[in-house]
Amino acid sequence: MKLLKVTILLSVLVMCNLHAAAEVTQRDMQVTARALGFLTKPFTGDTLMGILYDPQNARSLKEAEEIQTMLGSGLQSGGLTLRAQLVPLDQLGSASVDLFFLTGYLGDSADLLRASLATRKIPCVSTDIEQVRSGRCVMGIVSAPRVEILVNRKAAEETGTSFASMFRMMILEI
Amino acid sequence: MNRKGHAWQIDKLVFILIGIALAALWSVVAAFSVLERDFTLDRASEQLAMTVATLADFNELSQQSATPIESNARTEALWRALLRYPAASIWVETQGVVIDGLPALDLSNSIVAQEIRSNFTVFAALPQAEALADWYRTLWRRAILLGLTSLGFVVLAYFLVRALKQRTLVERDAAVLEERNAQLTRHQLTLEQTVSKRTADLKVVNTRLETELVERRATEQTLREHDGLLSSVAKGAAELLGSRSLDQAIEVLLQLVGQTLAVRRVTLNTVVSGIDGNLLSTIEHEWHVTGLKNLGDDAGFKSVDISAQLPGAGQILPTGGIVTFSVNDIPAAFREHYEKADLRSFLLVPVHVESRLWGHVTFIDNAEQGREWNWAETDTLRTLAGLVGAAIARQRNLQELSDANMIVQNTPTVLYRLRGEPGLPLAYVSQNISKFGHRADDLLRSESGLFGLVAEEHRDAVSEVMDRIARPDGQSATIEYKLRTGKGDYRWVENRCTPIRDEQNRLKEVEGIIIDITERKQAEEKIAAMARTDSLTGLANRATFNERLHDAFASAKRHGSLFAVMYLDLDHFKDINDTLGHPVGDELLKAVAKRLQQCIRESDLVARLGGDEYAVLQLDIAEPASAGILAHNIQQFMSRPFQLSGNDLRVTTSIGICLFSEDSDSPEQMLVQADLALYRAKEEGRNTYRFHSDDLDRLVMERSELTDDLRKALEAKELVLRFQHQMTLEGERIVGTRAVVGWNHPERGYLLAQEFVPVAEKSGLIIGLAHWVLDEACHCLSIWRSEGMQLKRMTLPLTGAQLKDSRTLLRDIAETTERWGLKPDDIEFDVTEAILAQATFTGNEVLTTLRDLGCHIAIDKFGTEYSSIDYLRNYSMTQLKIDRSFVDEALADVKARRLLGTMIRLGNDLGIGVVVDGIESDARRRLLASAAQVASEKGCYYGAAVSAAEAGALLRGESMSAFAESEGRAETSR
Repeated sequence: MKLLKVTILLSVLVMCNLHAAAEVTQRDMQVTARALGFLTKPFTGDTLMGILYDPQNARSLKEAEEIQTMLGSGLQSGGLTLRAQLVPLDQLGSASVDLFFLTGYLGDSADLLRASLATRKIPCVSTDIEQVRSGRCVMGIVSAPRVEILVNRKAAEETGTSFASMFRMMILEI
Repeated sequence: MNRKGHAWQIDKLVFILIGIALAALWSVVAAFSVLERDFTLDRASEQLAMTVATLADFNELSQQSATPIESNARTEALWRALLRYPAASIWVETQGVVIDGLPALDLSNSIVAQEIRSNFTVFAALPQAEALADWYRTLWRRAILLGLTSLGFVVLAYFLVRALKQRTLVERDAAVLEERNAQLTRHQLTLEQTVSKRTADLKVVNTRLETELVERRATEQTLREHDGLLSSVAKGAAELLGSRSLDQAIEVLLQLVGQTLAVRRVTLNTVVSGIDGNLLSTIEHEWHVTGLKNLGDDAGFKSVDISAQLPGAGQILPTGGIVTFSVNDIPAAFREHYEKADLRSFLLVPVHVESRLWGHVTFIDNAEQGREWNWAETDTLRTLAGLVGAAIARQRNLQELSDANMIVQNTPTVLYRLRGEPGLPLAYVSQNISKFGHRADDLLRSESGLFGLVAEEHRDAVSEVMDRIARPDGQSATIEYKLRTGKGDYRWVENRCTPIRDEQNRLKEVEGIIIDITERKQAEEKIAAMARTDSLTGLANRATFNERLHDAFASAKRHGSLFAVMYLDLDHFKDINDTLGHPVGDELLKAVAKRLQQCIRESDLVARLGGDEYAVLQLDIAEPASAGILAHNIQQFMSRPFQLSGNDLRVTTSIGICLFSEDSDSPEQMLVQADLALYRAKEEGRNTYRFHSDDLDRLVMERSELTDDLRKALEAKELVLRFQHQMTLEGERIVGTRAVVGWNHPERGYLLAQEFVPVAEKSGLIIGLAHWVLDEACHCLSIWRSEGMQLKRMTLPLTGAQLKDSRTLLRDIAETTERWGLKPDDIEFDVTEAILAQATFTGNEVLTTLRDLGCHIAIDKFGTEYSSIDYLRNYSMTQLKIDRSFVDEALADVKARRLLGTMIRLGNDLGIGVVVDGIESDARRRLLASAAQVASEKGCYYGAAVSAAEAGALLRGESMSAFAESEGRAETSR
């Protein structure tokens, strides 16, 4: 029974991944902001989220710009105000942000990304479940048709990210 | 109006209803929104409670099992809540310590939910604004929707009201149209009725007009005849007014009317009352058609008794009625006579003059049955008779006016009339103004009229009278004045003028008469003159003399002027009367009067007081001696023989003189004193004059004698010139000389200038004396210079009399210096300070002229009279001559010596030469030198006066000082 559930969830996540890879929504950002409020060391006040994209990939750039437009001057959730900053992939190491949001279409640079995030202890979020599944990203967000959150435990440990107990009851950790 | 009011009420009602509906809608929506807000807050609170409860459950589960909860309805509800309220803060506390999440910083305006469990508490806080965010948005949308709805309602109401108004207007227009239609219908009916009635009326009128037309044609014929008659009467009237002869005019008039009326005869008869009261008619003028004889030539028609012969004429004509009859109406006794003359039809129109029957105009025709006289003819003939009467009355009036005018022309008065307008212009003046040499037409045309003829001195008085008359209360007035005649002389007239006013008391005109009263005035003046003059001699009489004496006395009292009263009579006049008779005596008196008048000035008065007594009033005399001189002259003049009636008469006069003085009490007293003085003159041998005072007698006699002697002395060459040389203090050089006149009087010895020059000035001999001195001095100077003596100039005195007669003085200087080969520059005039003051006061410029000529001016006796430094500057003085009195005082007094020195230094400082008089010894010369400390060139003095020969010797260089000293003393001692 449990296996069935996991299978169904993964199927959903794959479907969601396909969908997420297609478009990031406002609701995705709201869920992300709310989820960040459940960290054991939650972000407060202005929190700068680096939107990581591949400057060589036009679709990646477009998605990054759409996310920046969504956040506008800041998305509030509890005591947190989430702001966006576009970060090209080649400037990953020098970006001064509190967390990263990985757009789709990053391609072969994902391994380099993981190493870098782990080194700098900066968590990352993405709607691309595959990125979480591959351990490159800490938290994957699916907001439709219902809210589903997938956390890569290993990646979380590498970046020093931990969640409140009650939140962990609402997510799927792998 | 009602419709309009009704429409307004509908408009108002619609808007009120719309307003109420909208207010209700807004109220319901507002109430609903308030309820909705509360509901929203409650729901948020519930969802927060559910959220914290769910989270608390999850937290407990996490403590019990690490297995996550599968997604279920509760989880989805939790996420919905979390995403719905993104601003909600969620945190977990254990024993007051936050273990998860972030607590909200401010809970004051937030919805707070908490879920308390055994070992922890879950909190959720949501700001109310966040919870109501959706409600606010909904509220705004609702308000906008409601506002648009309200606007829609208002627009709807507007169009609704507009539609209602248009409907009301249409209804009103329809009602008006309906009313007009009804009126037109009524009018049409009325018009039809009127047309029918008028048509009927017109038919009646047309019928009447046709009748009237016939009558009118007949009337027009009558009027044409009437017009012809009127035209004839008008021509006759013009003839009456324009013709000079009334008889000729009446003849023409009768002919015109007779021809117009187509009658055979027209006569104008006069009527008088006979003895029995019957009216007797006589033909005065007659016209008849050609071929008939004059009725007036028929004896049977002269003095016709119309009361008896013509029916009704005696009764009707005096009352102004017209009488018509035919020959058949005439009494049988007289009828035959009329029938023989072929007189058959008669019309008699009375002629009245000044309301009384004067006669009648008779129109006679030969119609057998009598002629019909229509109203036009009788009216016109009545007018004709009136015109004849008026013409006769006018001729009478003209005759009367002509007679009256003739009377006026023959009277000495002039009638005039002034129009009552500003300036009272002349409207009429009678022709007899020609008696004053003026033409009435000229005066009427001139702007000034009669007023322009009034003598200048009387114009103010005449203007005043005319102004007074022109006033509303002005009355008649009479004024006498002189009127200029055409020849330019004047005649006295009396002008009596009367204002004529209308009912409103406005001045219409002024009427007046002017009467020549010249003869009366002359008579009055003659009477007045006779009352003031002596009839025998024509001199003033005693009354006039007394009157003038009083005036002179009053004037003298006020102004201090001097005058004299002389009382004189002829010595032994009684003997002349007794021996030669009174007629010769009277002739002598008249001749004496004539001579007396020749002796006096115009301002003086001579009067005959009675008998051989005369009186003279001598006014404004300078000194008592003047009276003596006049008395002396009178005696001299009277002593000449009178040629009277073949007799050579010689008479002498005695004169008593009284001079006015401040002690004089009255004019009468002066006359008495003069009379007393006359007695003294008589007592002292007659042929002399005496003052009422002995001292005056003596003084005047002496002056008078001296004057006579001086006049002779000029001719007898008794006058001499002596000279005082002007010498410098140091060196004794002669720089000039001064001429001094003296008189070798045959009885009184040598007289100094001051003893006779004042007499010369008073008597007027000074001019001649001054001329002699100038001529003699210039002569001497000329001789001395010809002998080679160097003498700068000759100094001469200048008197006040010369100053007054400046023209003679300047001419004398020019002629005399030229005659002796000298220049004006060689002459210096000594002028006293008194004369300088006189010249300055009177503005006399002669001194300045003398300076311009080149003459020198020196102040003589400086410091003794009216010293003024201005004289030195204004007249450019060449020398300052200090009087000897200063030297006399300086010898005895130190202060006087200083004063002398100061005066000399003043002259030196001003650059004026200084000459000191009275330096007659060495001691005095030394004194002068020490006092003045002057250089020899600037200090001079005069030596003693010497004769011309001695002066020449001095100039030639003979011993001067000793001579001068001795002569100076000698001169002073004299």
